[in-house]
Amino acid sequence: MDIGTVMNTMRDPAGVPAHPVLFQALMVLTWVLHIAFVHLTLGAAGLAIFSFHRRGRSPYWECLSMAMTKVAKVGVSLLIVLGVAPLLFTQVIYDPQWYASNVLSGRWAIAFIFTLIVAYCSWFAFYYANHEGAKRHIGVFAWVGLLLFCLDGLIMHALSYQALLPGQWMGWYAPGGVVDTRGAALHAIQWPRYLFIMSLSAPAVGIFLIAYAHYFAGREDREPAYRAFTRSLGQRMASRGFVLALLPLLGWQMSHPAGSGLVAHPVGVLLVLAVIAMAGWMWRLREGTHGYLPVLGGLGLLAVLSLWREVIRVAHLKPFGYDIANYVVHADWPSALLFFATLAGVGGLVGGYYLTLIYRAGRVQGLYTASRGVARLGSGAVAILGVWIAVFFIYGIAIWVRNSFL
Amino acid sequence: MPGKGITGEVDRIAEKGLLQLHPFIPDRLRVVNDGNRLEVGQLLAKVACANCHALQRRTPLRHIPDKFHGATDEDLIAAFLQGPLKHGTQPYMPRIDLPEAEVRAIAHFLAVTNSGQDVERLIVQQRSATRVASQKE
Repeated sequence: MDIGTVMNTMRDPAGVPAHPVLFQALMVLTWVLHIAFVHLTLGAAGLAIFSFHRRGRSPYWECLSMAMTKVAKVGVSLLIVLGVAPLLFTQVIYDPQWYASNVLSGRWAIAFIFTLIVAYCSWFAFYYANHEGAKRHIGVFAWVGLLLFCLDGLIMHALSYQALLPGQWMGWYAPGGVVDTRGAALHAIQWPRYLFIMSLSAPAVGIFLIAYAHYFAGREDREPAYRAFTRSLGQRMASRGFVLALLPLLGWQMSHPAGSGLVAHPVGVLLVLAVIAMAGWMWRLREGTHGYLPVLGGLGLLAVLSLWREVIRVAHLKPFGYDIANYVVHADWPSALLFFATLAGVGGLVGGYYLTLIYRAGRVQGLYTASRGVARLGSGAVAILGVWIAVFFIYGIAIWVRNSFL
Repeated sequence: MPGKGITGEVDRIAEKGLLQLHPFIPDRLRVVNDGNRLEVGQLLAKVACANCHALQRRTPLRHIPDKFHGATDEDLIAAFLQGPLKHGTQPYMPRIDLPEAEVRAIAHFLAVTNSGQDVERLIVQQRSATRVASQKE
């Protein structure tokens, strides 16, 4: 059976509720935020462990270890929350590939959940115990957590990469014509791609440290020497991290299939140039540069990476006749309107309120008193939540009444 | 209830069979014969039944040997597959209508499973015997 026909047949027979390109764009955009927190979490976890083992040298290392432990703890929850959106958009337009890949490695897909739970619990144990004068052996919890986080990254990488190789699915499912339904193997790993994406964790936490030093500039309990220490460390991690990331990136660029046009593709070249530019910028970062600017640069780089992943996916699937543009569309405008209104209203106003509140409260030492603007934002957030809940129920009840009684 | 242009596939499967329509069936198993009946029956049971039922004895999740009360009579099992299951009259189960050869293969596999024999070992033996026979030809 032609695998291209198979993939098109495996699509959701109900079609998609809006043009597929809309889901593609949302998938690319939301993945940027997800992977940003993946990098921050992995980088912060690694730095927390490194600082933990250096805490005897200086109180700054001890302070940094505790801070990074908290960053990684919060980062995990955010990367999970922010990972839902790109996962769902992938399932909408690339459902045949994603589900086939997950079934082919079913045990690993399930193991992902359990290892993530164990990793998070282990990291939480480290967070709980990592205080002044902490005992050395608690570092084991951190190592277990970080190694399992890396394993989870490998599982996600394999599931994504296997989805690009439909020509090999049958060989994995029934090697030699004998069906193997165990789902016990990770069938395809592209090490340069995995290592490149993982390697960005080091410069990511470096950039975070630069912003961290800027953020606490107004707090007297974060002494200037400590902030200078974190900014300097962040700059070194960012500049060297981007240089090191170039190696697996170039390896990845060289490993694209011949004839796919990917080796010299403009987006791939742009990604290489972006990494070089970030490395150069971080190397020569001036003292007066605003601490948040590198974060914007990093997010821009991740946007190119996210776009590049999608270009690669399209290039791999097109020869098989799979094109999202011809996915059946059954437009559902009320749902689309509800989605974007929720994104702007609940996401923007409620999320914006929380972010503003947390951001401002963290910059104040002692008791924080909200300004009039933040208080209004809070009132608006509560109101919009009320409206959203009301619309949610009214919309559902209206459809139920229409379908059942009219 | 039709909607969004979705067409039912149960009747098409009843006409052509899962072995011909399912995309992930190895070619050597697309036609049932004496040398692969048990293996085909196992694969079809996995495709058609294992979403809701465990296939092994003494396992959780509504295992099939228990549902058939350990029956080893292939005709009895086939009668259920060609009766309530074919016509969709079994509560809580979808209508599954398969061609005769596929029903017999599933019934054979379930009967062997219920008899307590080592199905995996038997399949390996049959596969080896088939390979030897084809090499002699």
